[in-house]
Amino acid sequence: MRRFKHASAAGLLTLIILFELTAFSLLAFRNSTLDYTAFIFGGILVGMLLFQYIALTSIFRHVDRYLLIIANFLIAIGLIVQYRIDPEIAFKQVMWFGVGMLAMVFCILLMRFPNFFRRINWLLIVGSLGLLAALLLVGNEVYGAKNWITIGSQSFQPSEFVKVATVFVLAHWLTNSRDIRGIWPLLAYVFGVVALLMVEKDLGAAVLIFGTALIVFYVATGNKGLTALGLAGGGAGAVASYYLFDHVRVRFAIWKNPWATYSGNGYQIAQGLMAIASGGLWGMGLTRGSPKLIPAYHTDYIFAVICEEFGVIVGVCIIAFYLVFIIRGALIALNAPDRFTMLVAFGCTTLITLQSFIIIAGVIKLIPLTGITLPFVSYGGSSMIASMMLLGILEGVAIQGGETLERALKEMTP
Amino acid sequence: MYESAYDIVAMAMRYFFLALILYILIRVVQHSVSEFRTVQQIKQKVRSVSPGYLEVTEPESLRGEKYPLRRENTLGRAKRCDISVPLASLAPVHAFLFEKKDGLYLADYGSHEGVLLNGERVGRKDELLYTGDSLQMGELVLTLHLAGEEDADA
Repeated sequence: MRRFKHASAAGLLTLIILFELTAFSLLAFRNSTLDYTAFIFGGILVGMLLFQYIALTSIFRHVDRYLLIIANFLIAIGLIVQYRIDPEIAFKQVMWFGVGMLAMVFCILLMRFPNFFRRINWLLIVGSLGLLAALLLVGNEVYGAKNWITIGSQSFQPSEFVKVATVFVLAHWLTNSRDIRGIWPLLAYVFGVVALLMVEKDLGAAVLIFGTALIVFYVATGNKGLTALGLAGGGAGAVASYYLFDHVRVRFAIWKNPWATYSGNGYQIAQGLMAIASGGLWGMGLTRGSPKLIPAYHTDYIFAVICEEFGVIVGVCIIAFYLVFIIRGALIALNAPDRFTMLVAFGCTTLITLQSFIIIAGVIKLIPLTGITLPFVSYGGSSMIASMMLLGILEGVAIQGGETLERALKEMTP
Repeated sequence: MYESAYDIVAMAMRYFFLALILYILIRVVQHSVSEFRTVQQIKQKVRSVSPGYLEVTEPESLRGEKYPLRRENTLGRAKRCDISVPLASLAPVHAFLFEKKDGLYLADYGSHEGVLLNGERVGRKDELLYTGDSLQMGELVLTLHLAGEEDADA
């Protein structure tokens, strides 16, 4: 056995295509007049999926097919729900999906030179801190968080790209050093980023980056004491921010009882919960819910819309897909050729799944709601591109790991 | 009339969607497990082929001892090291030997004593090793023998 082959996932791709085609046909017959654009949209999406899968698997033999399948499924269900809500935003999002695919391929190619990211590490640190600091001056406020920069007619969310940079900064410093003295720039970086995000009221991103840093630190060093200390520090920071910032107190109060302020701040959570409840276990059926009653229905609250129309059980399936994503990501990290790429792969996995759990738990009122997007599913250009970049980095590591293993196999059987 | 018929179709379709999604999920899990097994078998095979071994030349008490190398090895005093040598002058985890595509490399794990490769201290950079190199850590001196670069009996 001189080369190992990956099992084909073409069958699963066919099923996803079937899912898309049936869903868009259902959407096309929504009104008594036939909606041709739904067919066109479905056709575009299927074409993109086929192109992406065939191109990637034929160029890179060791690409992780199941990660691609999971991401494509999540993107498909997201686009279906977005089209059902408003075809216009779905067309915008499918364009972002295309840009995201380019970003993914770019990241796969860049991961062939992992040392490049280690060399520009200081640039990443300064760049991301600078971007976040610039937000304080020129940021636009959306939903109470000052986290958008507008250039011309396009606006983007720097915190999404800071997430990607954070993965490399974490991996770089934790590869080099194992004790606390050696990683002070990393600690300063994480502290700075989290503090800036807190000041900008972007609580979701702050919690996400802090959590990712802590998990990757624990994985890299295995130091239980320091991790517990970090966790305690995070807890203390959370308590302090409760007393320091008004918006944190408001969020906490809504979480405790959204119904008390139903006509005010609690409206979003209450509407989301009602949507999930009205869907029930089996859902109301596509096009039969009323998602527009929930604020932020196409971004942060898309999980509630999916639960309403497809049922709680599909919501559980989506959580399960993210769980499988963790397992695939961890396997890629274990097969990575060296420590740096291992930590990078693990960081990407943690980032994507932790983000999905923070927002899903917020929507179902498990933890206080912090506004971030559901990766791959939610509407949003920055979010989609950043998620696809993380996916691309993971695929890059998977390809490197596969090639290393194959090289070893070749040397074994001369 | 049209709307109620459409409602029935939409209601029925949700079971179809659910079945499809569940099937995709289960297949992804199944495939993942089987692929994991294949990769694990290959790794086992690869790991069973050793890049070489280390032979002790100093101190007297351990002279002639041979430690087979794997693709990645930690070396130190601690029991959890791949190559565990019970000498007080070693750090718990002292050095790290690992294979890259062009050969076997040595890295200091951040020990006080440091690692001397042929008499020179190994710095922050990973050092490429050749057969016959001598590695000194504290009072321990090892000679490297790489597989395939020695006589058949070595």
